[in-house]
Amino acid sequence: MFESILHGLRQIAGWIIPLAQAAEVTLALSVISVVIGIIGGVFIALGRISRGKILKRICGAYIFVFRGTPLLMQLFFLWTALPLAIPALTMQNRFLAAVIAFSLNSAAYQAEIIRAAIQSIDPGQMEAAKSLGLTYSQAMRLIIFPQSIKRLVPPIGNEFIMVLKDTSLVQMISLVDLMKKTNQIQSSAATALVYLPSAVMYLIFTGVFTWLFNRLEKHHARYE
Amino acid sequence: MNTSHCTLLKRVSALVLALACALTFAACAKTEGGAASTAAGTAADGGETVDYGNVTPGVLKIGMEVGYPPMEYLAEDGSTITGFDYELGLEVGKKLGLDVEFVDTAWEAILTSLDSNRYDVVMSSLSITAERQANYNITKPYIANNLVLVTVSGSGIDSTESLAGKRVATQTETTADDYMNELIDGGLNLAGYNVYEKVINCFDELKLNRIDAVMVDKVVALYYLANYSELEVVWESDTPEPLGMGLKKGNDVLTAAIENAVDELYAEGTIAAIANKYFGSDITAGVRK
Amino acid sequence: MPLIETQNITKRFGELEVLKGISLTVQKGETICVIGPSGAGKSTFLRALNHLESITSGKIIIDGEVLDDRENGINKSILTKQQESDILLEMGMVFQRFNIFPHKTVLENVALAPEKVRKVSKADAEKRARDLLETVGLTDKTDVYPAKLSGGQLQRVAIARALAMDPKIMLFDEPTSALDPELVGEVLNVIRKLAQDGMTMLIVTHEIGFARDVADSIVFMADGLILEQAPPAEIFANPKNEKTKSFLQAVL
Repeated sequence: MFESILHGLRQIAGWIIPLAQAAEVTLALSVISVVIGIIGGVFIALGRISRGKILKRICGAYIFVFRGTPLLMQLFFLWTALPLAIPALTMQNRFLAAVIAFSLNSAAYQAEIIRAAIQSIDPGQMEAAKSLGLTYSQAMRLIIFPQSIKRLVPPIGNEFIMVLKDTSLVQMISLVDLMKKTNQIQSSAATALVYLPSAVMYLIFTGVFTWLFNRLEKHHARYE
Repeated sequence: MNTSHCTLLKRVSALVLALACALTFAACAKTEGGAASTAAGTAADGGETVDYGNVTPGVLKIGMEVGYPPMEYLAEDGSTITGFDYELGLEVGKKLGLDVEFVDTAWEAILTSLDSNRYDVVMSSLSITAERQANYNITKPYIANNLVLVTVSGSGIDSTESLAGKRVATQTETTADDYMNELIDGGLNLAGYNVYEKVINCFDELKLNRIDAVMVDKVVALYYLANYSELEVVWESDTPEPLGMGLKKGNDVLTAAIENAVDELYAEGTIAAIANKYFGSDITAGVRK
Repeated sequence: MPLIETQNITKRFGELEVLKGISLTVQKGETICVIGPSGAGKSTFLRALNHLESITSGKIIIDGEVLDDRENGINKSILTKQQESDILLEMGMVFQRFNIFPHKTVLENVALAPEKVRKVSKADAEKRARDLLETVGLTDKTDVYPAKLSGGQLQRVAIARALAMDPKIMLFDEPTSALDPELVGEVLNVIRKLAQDGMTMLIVTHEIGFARDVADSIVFMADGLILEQAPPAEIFANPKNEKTKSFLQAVL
């Protein structure tokens, strides 16, 4: 009994480094994609609520396409289908391709989150800003965005956790993430024990980020 | 104006709803059709069905990863399963007097799903290895196979040694994957080694010049070569890697029954006929000893 | 020259005509109160002056400069963005629901626009903000967030915020309608003081007593039209229009 527990622990210890290396892909991909997604999302959201009819349509179509098709399909389209059709668009860097696909996808989701948050702000705030002579971009930057942040943080935190778990899709383009590494170890060591350290790693990531996002939310709600 | 909007909305929702219903019915109808076609393997001699301890009594459930032509893949209509293993499965079912049902499974879980009783037998281009024999009931070989190396014509690669500094791909968790790992552990220095979920991914990557060579089962390579004229087989393993069927460890009654059925199908020439249909030659000859 | 002059302003929302031709002049130093039943178009009129609504037709002239000269929604007065915003800055606006920025302290609310729009230095903007907060009686609240303030206090911050841009005209859109009755007085007192100091003001209000008290002239609006305009003594003692009469009977 004691022997087998010890053996298990020794096995787990040996897996930590390969798992951690794979986790780097998972973590880096999620963080980079969500950050780029937020930046892109802001612009798409602004386009969506702008008065320009064409801009509005384009942004609406973007969201429709990227939310309406599976991320796996987008990843595959970018990595395989597109270069097969147009060889000039062949990418060699798998991680970069994954970042692009995940960012494009995340931007669509976050645009809707951001739009909803902006539109939830009392229109009186914009009117007051205008009546004081602030330009549209000043009003957005100084008045509307800062108030939206506390409403943005929970859904973006949620989106981050979704992306973190979706990163396992990258094994389709032969990137080894935490999930793939777990599977590889499981089949070569012929034991499901590897799920234990792997699950703990996922929980640490989601735990740390949940905590961070809670802090951020509180910080931006301090004036209430 | 508001009311007209409202009616329009109602109409559109009604239309969407109707469409959803129609699609659901179509899907149901299709499943029924599919079940009927697989039931073609029902007891030829019309006798009562024998109990082999099947997962579902009276049904031979066969696990396969559909997407490995010409062994198991979808016909051009995109929904009917076909291939060497598929036809052999139907014939085996007939011999055993059982209905046949095919269960499409991810390759990674193809053997472990035997343990969780998702199906009775794996017929999915399963190479016979010592490790697999230790953990599962593996039948005698039913088709010859060995590993080959496929590249774009004129790559200069002609052996496993000449892979040094090159990029290689295999399908994950296959004997090709195992073999490449052995070579790497033995000191082969690759510029990159990538594993994919589906074998088609490997060939796409080869065409996109993201890799230089694919290590793969010969039975599959022959099929892709027929479709991609720019590819060629540059090396062939000396080690035969015949394919067998896998069952749960200790499921000896069904294993023996299947062995018998396959032997009979050999003797009758049924297997040779299927092989000729898919490979243009009988690559099963002499493999079953 | 009047500070505000409107000529025959109309405003349509689709089929609905909210303003049916409003002509009004406000002289420098005048306080004019606009009264009337709800739905009369009082707020729309005020918001149109400040470009929070665009008018369908008519002319708006602020301090001699033509801000709008519209026909079917098209402006014939061609102003650059800069010119337009300069004219608009001559009007300060106080809203029914305060519209104080909740994420800024009281001081920041008041100092923000002078700093960002007028490009006044931060120190100067804050000094001026403190002075204004003193005049509205909120010296002790400069560094708190709005969530801690009562409605009356919020509205006084809003008045200080509008005054910080040194407007020539103050527009009040029902400034006490959202307040609890016991808080109305403190806000009206601040407005009264502004009137005494000679600020030009256009006030939409339901506080008839206050209007009688503070206004140089009362405008009665109903159904998108000005039905009557007269000094308080005259309109309350002797309303000429039937609708004015029945409205005043109902509210007094």
